[in-house]
Amino acid sequence: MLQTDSLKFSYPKGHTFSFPNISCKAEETLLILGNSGTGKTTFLNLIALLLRPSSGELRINNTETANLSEKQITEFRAQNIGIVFQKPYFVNALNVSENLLLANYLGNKALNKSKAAELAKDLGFEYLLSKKVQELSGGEQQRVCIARALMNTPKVILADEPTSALDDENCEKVADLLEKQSKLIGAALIIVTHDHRLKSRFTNQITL
Amino acid sequence: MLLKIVWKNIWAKKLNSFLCILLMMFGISIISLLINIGNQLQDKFSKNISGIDMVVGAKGSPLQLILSGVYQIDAPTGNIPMSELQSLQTNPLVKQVLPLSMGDNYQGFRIVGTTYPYLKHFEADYAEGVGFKNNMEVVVGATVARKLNLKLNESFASSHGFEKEGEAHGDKKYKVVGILKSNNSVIDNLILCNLNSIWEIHKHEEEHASETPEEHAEHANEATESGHDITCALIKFRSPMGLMTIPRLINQNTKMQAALPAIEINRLFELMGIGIDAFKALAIAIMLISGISVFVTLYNALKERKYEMALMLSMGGKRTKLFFMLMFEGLFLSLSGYILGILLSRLGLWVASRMLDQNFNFDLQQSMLQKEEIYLLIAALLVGIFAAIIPSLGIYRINISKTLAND
Repeated sequence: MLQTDSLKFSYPKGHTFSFPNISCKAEETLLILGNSGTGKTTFLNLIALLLRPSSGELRINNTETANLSEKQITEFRAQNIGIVFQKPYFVNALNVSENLLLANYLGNKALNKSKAAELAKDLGFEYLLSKKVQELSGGEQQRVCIARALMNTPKVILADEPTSALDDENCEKVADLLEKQSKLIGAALIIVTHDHRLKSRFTNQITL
Repeated sequence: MLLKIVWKNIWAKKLNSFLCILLMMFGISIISLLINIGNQLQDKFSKNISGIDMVVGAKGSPLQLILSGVYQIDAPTGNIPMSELQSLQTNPLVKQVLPLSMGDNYQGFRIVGTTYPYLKHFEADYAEGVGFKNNMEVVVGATVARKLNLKLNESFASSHGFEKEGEAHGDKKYKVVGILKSNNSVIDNLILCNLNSIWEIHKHEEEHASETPEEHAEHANEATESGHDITCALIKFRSPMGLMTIPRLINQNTKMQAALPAIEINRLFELMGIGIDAFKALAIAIMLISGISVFVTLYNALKERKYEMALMLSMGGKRTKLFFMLMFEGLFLSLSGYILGILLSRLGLWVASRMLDQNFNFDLQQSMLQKEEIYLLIAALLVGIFAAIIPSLGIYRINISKTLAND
């Protein structure tokens, strides 16, 4: 589902990162580990197509992304990649359900309310759908973010430190949910983390 | 969905949005009110003036003569003998002389003695009845009939002066023979009769003068050898030559004065114009402040919502779309301010109309959107656009990965 080949990225100030080649098949989970400053987030941003590499290749869902235009990239990302950011970002003026549907809207898809309700039920927050996002606890927010990443049934799910702010119990839950949901929709799951609690759980690992 | 987000964002900052809309509303409503009142006054003033080239009456303030003679709103300057008009009536440069005699009222509405051409001049049309033929027969204007609920063949006694409380001429009663259709001119507010009726009432009074010495004194100078006084006369000229020569002749050689409505009204509007301009400047300042407040609101919003914007961009939102989303927020605020402002100005117009009506028997029409108000709409939208464009352009500067990775 996803392969990289000698990806490199240079920051304007001159710092250059070279990343190892990775590949991740559908329904598989890959853990990207590394200490701070090793370019974990940069790597994730490259895979998420939020940054363009200075050299190297990145294939997602059999598409060579280097050849896509800026506009195509935006569309491609909306269609194929679900991102769970480290911090639970939301559009604060919208409620939980609307934040989920926003993914459909921005991805140019029909608003799928039943899908939102279904995911909310699977992730255990159906009673929160009409609440304001600011009123949710950290664990609840993280689950909503996961649901949002799944709204467009992506081919690749990227999670950036999804558990760093959570206690053991919630960490376990979130990891379960990510794994279960990505298997369910047949997506590749890539988790960038330095959380040792996850290391023991997923065996397919790469360290930067 | 886009509009929903716009609406939710506005709703999420209720107080800020309220302030923006409030400022815009006041700016717009003040300007719109000024435009409406100004237009209607000018319209009314110029409609009543049309065709009247000169007014002659007793010496005094020319503006007062015009206001009392043409618009029936100020007190008359005094009386002049009917005989003085003779030379004017025979002057070849003069097309028409419309004598007016005032001095009485009924329930605050002026009773004006005149001749038929006065009605014709205003293109009066009868809703009911006929014109006055005999003494003590009156034709009432539409507003008068409506307000006082006067019917055909009804009789009433007039009172002296221009106040409702004036002393009643109880022994002689007027009879309504005609009611006019409303035509938005000064005669809507008048009760019209022939000159003789006025003369008769006041002559009659003089016989009882001993009973009221003050009245006697007042009427003493009204009476001349012929006994026929009028208050003023409206003159139409046959050619502009008359305008050049006759006013000076009258002012130099007679006891009367001649005033030119066009000049006096221009003077009046110039005086009013200063006040109106000051108000307009104030209103424009308020509108600009509203624009600044929209700007600050959106600018802060963009700073606060930088993460939201980056998030939406990362989820496939196009920058153009988000740009328009912010623009819509600005436009929504200024547009709703505009709409509320226009509504408020109509409400203000209604209140002003009621006040004017009570005090001057002068009402304002609720009008459709004026041409100037369309310009005002464009101005309001421009304020909204300019206030929103700088914050909105910020969308294009957002670096998604940097913003979202920033912890």
